[in-house]
Parts: sequence; C-alpha cells; structure tokens
Amino acid sequence: MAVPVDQRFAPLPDRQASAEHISTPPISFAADAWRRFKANPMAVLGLITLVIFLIACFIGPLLTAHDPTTQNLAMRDQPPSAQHWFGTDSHGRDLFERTLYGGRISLAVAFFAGLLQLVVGVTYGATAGLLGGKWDNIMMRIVDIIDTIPLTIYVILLAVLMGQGLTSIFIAIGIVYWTSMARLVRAQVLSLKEQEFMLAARALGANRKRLVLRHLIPNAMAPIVVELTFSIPRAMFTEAFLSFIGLGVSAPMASWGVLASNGFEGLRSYPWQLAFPAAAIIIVSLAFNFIGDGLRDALDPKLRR
Amino acid sequence: MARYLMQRIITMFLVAFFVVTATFFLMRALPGGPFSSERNVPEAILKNLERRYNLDKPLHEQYLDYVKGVIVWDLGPSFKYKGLTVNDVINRGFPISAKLGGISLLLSIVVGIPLGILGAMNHNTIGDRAISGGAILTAAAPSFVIAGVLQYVFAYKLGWFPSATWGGGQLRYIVLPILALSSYNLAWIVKLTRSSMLEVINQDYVRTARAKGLRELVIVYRHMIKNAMVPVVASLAPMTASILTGSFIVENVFGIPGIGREFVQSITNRDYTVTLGMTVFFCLLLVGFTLIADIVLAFIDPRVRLEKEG
Repeated sequence: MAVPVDQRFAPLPDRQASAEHISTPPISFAADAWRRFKANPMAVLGLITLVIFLIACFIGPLLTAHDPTTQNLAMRDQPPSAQHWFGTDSHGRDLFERTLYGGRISLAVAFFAGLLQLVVGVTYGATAGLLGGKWDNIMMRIVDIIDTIPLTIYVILLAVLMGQGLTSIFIAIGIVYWTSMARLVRAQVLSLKEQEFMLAARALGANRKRLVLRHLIPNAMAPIVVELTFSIPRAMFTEAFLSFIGLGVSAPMASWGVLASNGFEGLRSYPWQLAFPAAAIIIVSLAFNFIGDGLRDALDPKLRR
Repeated sequence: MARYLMQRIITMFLVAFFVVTATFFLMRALPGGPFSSERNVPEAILKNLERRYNLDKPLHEQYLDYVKGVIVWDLGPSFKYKGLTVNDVINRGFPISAKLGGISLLLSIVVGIPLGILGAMNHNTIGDRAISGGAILTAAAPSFVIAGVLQYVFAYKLGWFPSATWGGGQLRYIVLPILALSSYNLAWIVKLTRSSMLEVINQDYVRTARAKGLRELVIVYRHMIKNAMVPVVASLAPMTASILTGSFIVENVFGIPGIGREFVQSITNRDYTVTLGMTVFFCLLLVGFTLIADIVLAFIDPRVRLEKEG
C-alpha cells in the first residue's frame, strides 16, 4: 500500500528560534572576574586579611580601653600581657593601640600615594600614548631619565624639602612613583588605539573625549588596577623607609614605620616593640601581593575559562 | 651597535645633568638655612658664614659654580664640619660601602641563580614551593626588619656575631650586614631566575635540543640558562640601586661608617652640601652602572641592540 507523499515529508518543528537561545545566563565581566578571583585561595586569603586589618585599624580603636598617646611611665617596656596585648613602648604607651592607629596612617599614606600616582601616571601615560610620535618619544625619554635614579632618593629629597609630616610623605611618594604606571598605561593605549573597535568608534563619529573615556580607559582598567595593588605596598614600604631614616610622621602620631623604628632602639631587651609593627607591615604587603596576583589572573580575558 | 652605544651615552649625560640641576635647586629651596640650628648668630657673622660658603652670590652663579665643581670633581666643603669636604666624606665612606655592596651583590648572584634554577627544574614540588615561598616572604619584609631579625637572633640571642659595631670590617663584623643587604636582591634574583627559566623550558629550541638527544645537563646549561639569564643581567643596574638605598638602612643599623650612614646623617644635620654632593655621587655611580649593564646586555642579547636601533 502506497504511503501518501505528504505524510512522509512532514516538516520538522521550527528550531531556528531555539538554536539561537543561550541556555546559560549571561555573565558580566565583573561577575566573571569575581568568580575566578574566588577560585584562587591565596587571593581570597589576602583579601580577607586586608579587610580584617582595615576593620581593626579604623574601627578597632573605638572599642578598646587604651589611648595610643597616654603615657604611663610606671608601665614602661612591658612585655605582651592580657592587659597590653602587644606590650608597651618606652613611654608606657599601649603598643596594640599604637599599632592600630599606626595602621591608619600607614594604610592612609599607602592609599593616597597610590591614588595620586594613579592620577599622575594614567594621565601622563595616556597622553604620551595618544599623542604618539615625537611627543611620545620625548615624554618617555623623560621617564627614562627619571627612572635611572632610585625613586627613593627623589622621595628623600622631596621629604627633606617639604619638611616632616604626613602630607609631604604622600605627596613625595605620589609625585615620584608614577613612572611604572605611566609606562604601563602608555603601552596599553598604544596597543588599544590600533584595534578595530577604536576604528569602528571613530568611524561612528565618536569624539576624542568619548574615545578616551568610554573605550580606552575601561579597556586598560584591568592592568591599571593590578599595578595599583602592587604599588600600594611599595608606597607603604617607602613610608616605613622614610620613617626609619628620620623623615617620617612626627610624634605623637606614629605609623608602622615609626613604631618599628622606635622599636629598634630597644631591640635587645624588648624585641616585641619591633616585632608587632614589622609583622603588620609584612602581612599587609603580602596580602596586597596575593590580591594583585589574583586580580591579574582574574581580570585577564585571555586566561578566561 | 655604535649607534646604540652613542644613544645610551647621550641619555646618561642627560640624566647626570638633570640630576645635578634638580638636586641643586631642590636643596636651595629648603626651608631653614644651614646655620639656623645655631641660635642667636649675630647678623654680621651670618653674613660672613654665607660668604664663606658662597651663599651670598646670585643663584645662577652658585649654580654655575656647582656644575663646574662637579665636572672637576670638587663637591665643595661641608656646611657642618669645618675643614671637611664632601670629597673627604665620600672618600672615607665609599671603600667600605663598595666592599659591602660588592660582596652582597656577588652573594645574591651566586646563591640566587642556582636556587632559582633548582626551583624551576623541580617545578611545583615541595622544594620549589619552599624556595619561592621563602623568596616571596623575604621580598615582603622591609630591609630594616630583616636587619633587626638577624641582629636579634644571631647577635643577641645566639651571640655568634658582634652587634652594631664595625671593628674595622673583619669577617665576623660584616656577615650580618651583608646578609641584611643581600636579602631583597637575593629574593628578587631567585624569583626572576625561576620565572624566566620556566618560560624558557617550554620553548621550541629546548624541545629541539631534547629531540637531538642531548644530555639533560647540556640542555639546561647551554640552552636554557644562557637564555634565561638575559632578564637577570638586565636587572643588575636596579639591583645596584637597591643595594645603595638598602645601605642607608643597613649601615645605620649595624653602625657601619659607609656612605649610606653619612648620607642619612647629612640629612639629619642639614648638611646641605654633603647631602647634595652625595646625591650627585650616587646618581653618577648608578648612571655608570646602568650604562655598563646596557652595554653588556647589548652584547649578550642581539634583540636589544636591534630593537633599540630600529
């Protein structure tokens, strides 16, 4: 018996629509980066450590009984105890309290210097990269010249020039330590501005401001953020260095660098006076380094899995 | 090659000129003259003092005098100590610092490179983890912390070495300072060697060498290390710089009469001409090292001179 032709050739259901359907929900760049950041245990550990330090330094002192500047000469150079967790210094001040307050100053110097260097470095690097040609050449030769001498020497001279104090430290660090950021941003801008999406944006009539703000900066953001996380501990180190050679914040304020420097004088008998502030510097700088490593992997689209 | 060298030399001259100029004007802009620490100096004496140190001349003449002085290598008298010149300060401090710095650099290279290679050859084993972990931890500690720990453990607690005395630079006096001075560079060389070895390990020419049936030792020695050393050589100049800034700390901690301690003391004393002169000296020293490193690099890595020329 012959089968009717039209039954043998029944059309399949229309799959055009379902073929285009994306079954997994779309994931934003930030969410994806966060997902990958979370997969790196060291980076998460670094982030948690940093958050704990920030909370301890900025909120902690409100909850504790001691005052960082109250001197108690009867309680000089006490070792760590239940009453004074980190012991006391040579003026009988509670060292735990002073470490918390010192962290405020050290972290603030590091953040502000980092931000300043971000502004100067990104502006300089982006300008050089965008102008290109002769101007780029001149601007980068200037960076080469600055970079030949250790930046610490400029910072010392600037700190001597502006006098002791918190502001002069972060200005000195901020206006000197931008060269690596400038190099990085310039390299980014140079490679980005030749890419197709820039050409497309220009063809669509985007003006210079829009090109820079909407296209260049967001695309260069990932390496900038990574560089920032590495530069913040560098700034903290420099602050400690300055404090140590006597150019730090002046009493009664104290950063970790100043505390460590003071602790040095009594190292033989009271080692904890150096140990606690030094440990704080090391732990925070390790935390930043781990976060930086994690961010570098998380923000790099090439490593996306 | 010749063009590359000329280019480098001209840049270095520019750097030197920039440094001399910048330090001169920075120090002249300082608040508080050199004699402000001596209270109640009569006007006339102050004038005389300023004449003695050429401070009464117009600024551009002072500047020209200074540049002339640098060229004939006469950095002028100290503000603070009568009869002492900047040249004296450098002459008496530099041999000590150079000795310490040289040994420290050598130590970092001799110990750091093999450690880095070991780490890379045993990638992801416990040994590798220990090496790179140690390097990361060392690099995260400021040099004064390292100096403090060394001094506390080996000088105070164990009593193996004398503490904070110079003693004419005999071996047992310089062990701790050299360790403290080397720590950062050592950690850095280990990290750098390790990562550049890891990069080289997967290169095609290494696979080719394996395919040819070369012995592992020959592959490592002739094909991997040679290529992996390029970034290490390139970092010699920055390492010299870090030894220099490290000496500011280490020489103070261990009481070593070198240029690092003199420099820090001149800052505390507001000894203008000494601070200024030593800055210029440091910078010229580093400019020289950078130039040497650049030349060496151009010799061992043809990519460098081709890229810079093209």
